[in-house]
Amino acid sequence: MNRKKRSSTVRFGPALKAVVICLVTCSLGMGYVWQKQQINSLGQQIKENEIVLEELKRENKRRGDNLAYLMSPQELDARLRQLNLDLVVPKPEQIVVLQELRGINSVYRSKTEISSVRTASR
Amino acid sequence: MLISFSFLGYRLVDLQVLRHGELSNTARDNTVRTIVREPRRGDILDVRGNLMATSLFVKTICADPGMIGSYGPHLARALAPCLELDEALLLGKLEPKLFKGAEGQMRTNRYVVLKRKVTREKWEEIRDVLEKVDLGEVKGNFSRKQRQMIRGVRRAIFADGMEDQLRVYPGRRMASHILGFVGGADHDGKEGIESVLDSKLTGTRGWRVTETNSKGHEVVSLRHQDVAARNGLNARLTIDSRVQHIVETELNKAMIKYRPQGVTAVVVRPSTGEIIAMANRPDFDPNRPGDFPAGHRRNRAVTDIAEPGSTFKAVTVAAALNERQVSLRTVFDCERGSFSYGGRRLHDHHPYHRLSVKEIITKSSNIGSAKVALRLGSPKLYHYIRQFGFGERTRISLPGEVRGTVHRLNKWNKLSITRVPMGHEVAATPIQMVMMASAIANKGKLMRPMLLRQLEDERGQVVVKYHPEAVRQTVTPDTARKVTEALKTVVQSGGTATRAALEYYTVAGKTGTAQKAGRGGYIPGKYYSAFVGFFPADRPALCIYVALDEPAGEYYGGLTAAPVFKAISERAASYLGIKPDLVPQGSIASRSGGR
Repeated sequence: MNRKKRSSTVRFGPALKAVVICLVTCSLGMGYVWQKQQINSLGQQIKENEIVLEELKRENKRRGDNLAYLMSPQELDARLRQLNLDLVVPKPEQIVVLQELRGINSVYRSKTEISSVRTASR
Repeated sequence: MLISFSFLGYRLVDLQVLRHGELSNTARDNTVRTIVREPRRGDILDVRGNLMATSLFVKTICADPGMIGSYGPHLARALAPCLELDEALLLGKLEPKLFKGAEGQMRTNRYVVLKRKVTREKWEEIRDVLEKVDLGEVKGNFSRKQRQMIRGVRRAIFADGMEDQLRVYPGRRMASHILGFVGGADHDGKEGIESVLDSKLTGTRGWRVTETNSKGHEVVSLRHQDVAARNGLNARLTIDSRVQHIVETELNKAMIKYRPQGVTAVVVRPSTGEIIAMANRPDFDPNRPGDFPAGHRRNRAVTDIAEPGSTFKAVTVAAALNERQVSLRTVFDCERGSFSYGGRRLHDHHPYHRLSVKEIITKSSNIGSAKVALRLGSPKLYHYIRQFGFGERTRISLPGEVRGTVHRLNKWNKLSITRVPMGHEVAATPIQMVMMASAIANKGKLMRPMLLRQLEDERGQVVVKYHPEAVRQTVTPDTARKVTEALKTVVQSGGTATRAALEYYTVAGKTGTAQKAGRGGYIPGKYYSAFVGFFPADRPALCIYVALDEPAGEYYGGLTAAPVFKAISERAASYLGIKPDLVPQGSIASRSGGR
């Protein structure tokens, strides 16, 4: 009777433990592999982004240099000659200096200054 | 079975224990890479941030002749136009060469440089050509192995992994003497600012220790060390590239009109000593300095000396006024153009009878200035010459500056006291002359010439800021004002430089025409003509020095250098928005009462 009783009861415990241990070990292993794969994948992304960043920096530099070239006095002079715009250096009396407006008092003061400049140039 | 396992066990111990060190080194050599990260050389900018010099990363194009084999002629024909090389020369480089290795075995060369300093765009173009070049595989019936070999031939032309730099000067010849150039394998600054600031512009190398996979691609997760390169600092100069351009175009015109051996101009802000422009002709292109003779690369403004001639009379008069030996109204007998002293005769260009000190400056009388100096005495004159910075370097941030010539007082002969006051027996650089005139314009305060405004990092943050530096007070502000009064008359009717007068600004200046000295004395027919002046005379914004070395035809400073001064001044004043202090006759403003 005892034998019967023993054979029909708790044999599931160790089996369950073994399954749990296997599952944990497997999931740890899977997690490790997944993590490694993620690290590699992120590493690749970092590399790709580094390349893109480098490319953008280079492009930015190229455009900056191009802008500097287009704005250089020699280039502007050459363009003026090419376009034949007949531009000449303005005489001081042709130049009106505008004051920067800050606050009401300075607005009033600046207006009077501007008007005096206009009177003088008339 | 046992023997097999024993053998495997032994092999395991052999690989993992006995040969561990050797094999791990081999494995590391196969995967670990140390990459040097080159810093970019800093830019040189003008005062407004316009680019004057910059650096680009470029490639070195190489080939592996061992892989090319008999395809050399095909590649040479396709690549020669692209690489801008002679086809035969390129073919010579691509042909494999046999040599004896260290152990006596025959080897072919595996690395040859085809061209250096190739831009990235050019490299892309070369790669395109390589992709399209016909190596016969289209028509021919090749096996898989042969096709693989042909693919290897295309890969035999490659860019070296180590990037090089190319220094680019977008303004081409502009400010070449200030900027200098770089050269050599290490891309070192050789002259100009490039040389002076080399350590600041160069930056610091970085490195990366990483591992690669079987295809040679980096495994980012296995990076051991990653230290970024620190790029060089950007140098911001006091030069204004627009004013520099104005000066250079006017010097080009002067070279055509007066056909001198050379011409120099320096533009300074007197209150701070900031150099806004400095140019010489002949000049050179710093993008290809080797194409020009060494003489063209010399910055005459700091390396060349010449007798200053009559421009030096300003120093004599300033000294006498400061010592209260004379006033502007003190009158001297100018001996009707011929004065005998120490057994030698001194002449004026025109015979003058009695001239006040002011008129001595106006007419540029040699006899008058000699008599002023005689009243002052040699020790005092020598003292003021040194006070104005002659005989010592100005400490401008440029290489090769010379101190000029001022003989010690005990070396002066009997005639020196009559010769030195008119700019003979002394020699000065253009930078010394312009700083002297700037000192007079700056109420007697001599400033150190300033060429560097600040050093910035690549984000534009200021790392070092340079400030104006006063050297000494040469004469009192009152004396400086009196000298300015006298100098104003030089450009007025009756003065020697009426061609330097400006329509909207009062100019104070002095002409100088000195005969050039050679080994046996003065060389007949060879002159050094100069004009130094500042404006507006009472609130000086700019001080400009112009000198022509051996002009052909007209040679007086008032006829050659003065018009160049005027042209530069008019354009620079308009660009910089300098407020006029004169209302010209007949102008709209003068008709409305000149308010």
